[in-house]
Amino acid sequence: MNDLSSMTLRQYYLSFKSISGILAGLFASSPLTTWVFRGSTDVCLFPPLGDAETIARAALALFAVGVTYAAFHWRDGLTRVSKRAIMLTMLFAIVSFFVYLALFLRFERRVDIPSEKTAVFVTVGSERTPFADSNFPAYSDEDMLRARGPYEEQVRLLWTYKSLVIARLALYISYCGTVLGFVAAFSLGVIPETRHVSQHGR
Amino acid sequence: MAADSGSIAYNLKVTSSPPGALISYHRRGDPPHTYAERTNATISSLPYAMLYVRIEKEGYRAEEREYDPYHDPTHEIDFQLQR
Repeated sequence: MNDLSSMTLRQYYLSFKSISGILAGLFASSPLTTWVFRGSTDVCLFPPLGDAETIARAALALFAVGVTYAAFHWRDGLTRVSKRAIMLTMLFAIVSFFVYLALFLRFERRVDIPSEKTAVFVTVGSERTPFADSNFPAYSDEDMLRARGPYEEQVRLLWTYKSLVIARLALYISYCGTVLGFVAAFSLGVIPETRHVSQHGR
Repeated sequence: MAADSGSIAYNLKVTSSPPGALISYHRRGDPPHTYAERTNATISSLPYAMLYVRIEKEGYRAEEREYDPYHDPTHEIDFQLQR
């Protein structure tokens, strides 16, 4: 137990070569890897946030690095506490994921474009604008997006700004909770392995 | 596959028989936009949206048709004008 207090930051990050570390790295890098691989899958791996998506991805990747660093400083008094901390952060991640899933079903709309063999995901709001109400009174969200086009400027024309901001923030926060919860859990999982490394003098 | 909506556009070829008809088009909720060229013409870089395409030629009945770019991979619309 005492070995943990003498653990260096270098030893800690070297232990990310372990299974826990690799899993933490996969979750931490997911905002960037899903950006690289977007378009190669027909599922939505990051909530579409319109013009804010790039900065949201970069911010989440930075938050994830910050969480790995915070986990290092959380090591004091570990062993029994660490198991509880790992379970709590894992539970937080799982709950966040279910919240994200619920919000995804509520606010994400998929517009298929069979002629291009592709699909576009769009985050919509909960309140339609007067323009949408007057021109598309009986249209579903998907039909309205097909009629106007699944583009950011059209989404802003069809749903109120406030409802879009709320929907996107809710999606982003729950997505962040999922990713950061898993990063924290797996980063905390690295610490006992770091102790093992320290004890064996590597 | 999923795509970035900002990069999705298509070119629509509008033909008529006889050619030389005035082309205008619009999305639901927008005023009609008159295209600079007459049929037969290709309108480039159109956004994916349901489009109302209208054709007018003197001596012929004007015709308007809804075009669905989502399900038509040819991106061509042809009008047979009637007197």
